[in-house]
Amino acid sequence: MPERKIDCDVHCATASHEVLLSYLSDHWRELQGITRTPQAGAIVTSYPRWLPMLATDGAELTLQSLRERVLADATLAILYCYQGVESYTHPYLGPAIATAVNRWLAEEWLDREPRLRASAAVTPQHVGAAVEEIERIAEDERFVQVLLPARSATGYGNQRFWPLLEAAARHRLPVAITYGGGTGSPPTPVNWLGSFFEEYAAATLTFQSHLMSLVMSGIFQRLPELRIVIAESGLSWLPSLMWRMDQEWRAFQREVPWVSEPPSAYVRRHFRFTIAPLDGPPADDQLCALIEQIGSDEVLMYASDHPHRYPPNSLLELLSAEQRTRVLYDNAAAIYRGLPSELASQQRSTATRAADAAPPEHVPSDLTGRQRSTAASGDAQVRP
Amino acid sequence: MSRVVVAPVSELPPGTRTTVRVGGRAIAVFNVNGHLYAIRNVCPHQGAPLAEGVIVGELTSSGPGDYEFDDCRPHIKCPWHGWEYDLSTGQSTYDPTNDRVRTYEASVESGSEILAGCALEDGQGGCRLPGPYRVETIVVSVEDDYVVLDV
Repeated sequence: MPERKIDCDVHCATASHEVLLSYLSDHWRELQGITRTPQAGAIVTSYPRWLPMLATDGAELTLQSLRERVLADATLAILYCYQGVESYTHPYLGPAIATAVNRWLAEEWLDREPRLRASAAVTPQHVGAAVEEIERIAEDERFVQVLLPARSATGYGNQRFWPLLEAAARHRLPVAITYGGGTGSPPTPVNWLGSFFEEYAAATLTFQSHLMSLVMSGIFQRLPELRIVIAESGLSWLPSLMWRMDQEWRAFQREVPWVSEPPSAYVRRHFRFTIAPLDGPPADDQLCALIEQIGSDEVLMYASDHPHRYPPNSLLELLSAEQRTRVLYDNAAAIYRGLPSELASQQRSTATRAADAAPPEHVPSDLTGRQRSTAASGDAQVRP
Repeated sequence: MSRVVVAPVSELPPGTRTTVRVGGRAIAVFNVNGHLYAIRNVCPHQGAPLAEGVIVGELTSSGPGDYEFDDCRPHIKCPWHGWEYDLSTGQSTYDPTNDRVRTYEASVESGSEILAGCALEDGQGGCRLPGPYRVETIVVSVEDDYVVLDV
């Protein structure tokens, strides 16, 4: 029996902004067709689109290539489509684009490949609309998490984001924070540095800020079921941050008395980290020490970050058999809704669908993701 | 257990603290709003003298934004790193079950009671009067009350 594996970070992208037009309402389709306003790009020094570890070419990222390169040895893959929806200041256009991205994901990817799951685009700058979108996509079990960009005007623990976090937790959707963001906010705590290299390497600082913001905000007391996925940001920075937080918390607990356990306990319980790219130390024994310092193998989730490519590392080979199973499958299956049982129900429903020509009138309890999606996109038609 | 006279009550009014050495142990004695607390004068972290720390009220929380403040339950903040210990129990706020500072029973007794107790226990090796003060000192001020430590 092949090794079960969930690839927790696989990219797809719209080949052009026009692709989204048919997923917009009539009004926005017409206006976007005329104005052709795509996302405002992030302010970057010089984004090296040619670099394989960064490029995401929508035209080349076909379902076929995904089947060959990702799904050939992964049981399931979770799609990330970064569309820069956080860059739209328009309070209705931004959310409309987010909805269009999610409908495109459902119809172009999820409907065509049952082994795919998706991260939902939402607008952190328009929290009310983000909550509505979370409620909408939550009906489709194939959307397994909510996507936020690392660059942000403020930490995601800020109370303004709580309704968004609450909606995600309500539907057992982890919130994934990933590299990038077109918010106009700086990529480092000291704004823009000189080179793209500095900007890229310093991205971990933004993730660390969100992690601290979330832990100290007390949101995990309110939402014990909330899980945060730190995607594509390595993890070598994690032990030193946990040590520092734990030490300083003893003196400053009085400011945040609801943080009643050492901050590292919240990190281990509520945060998960994808393992590509891995910024770990070069030597194997040092890599083992890093995992030991993190203090849990439950926080690591396998990811290829396809199509981005990195130098190989020996992390998976260094793990024990049990650890390897956890990192490849169990850790993800534990936080993403419905994965293991849905696998079984899909096999059942494939057989059922072949036998049944007409769709059932009543929604059965083991409704497949595809049918849910149809119902969900029907709702979407009436959205402005 | 032995008993040690720390000071006349008049020399340890509310809001003050003092230290006393009993055998090899340094002990800090606090008067917080008329209540006496005594703890080992050594922070379990790196040995800082806790007697030099700031006293703060107890702070608990039922969730974000909720600050439940109890002024009647004083804690000492270590003067070096700000770590906190409950003066009543010695428990740390960061790891109450594993990290704590030793506490002692402090009380107020009259000079005559102390003398009587001493007479009773004298010769049995259990009485350590007069602690930092000499027996003669107590004898001459037998009318006063004293802060007494059970160690």
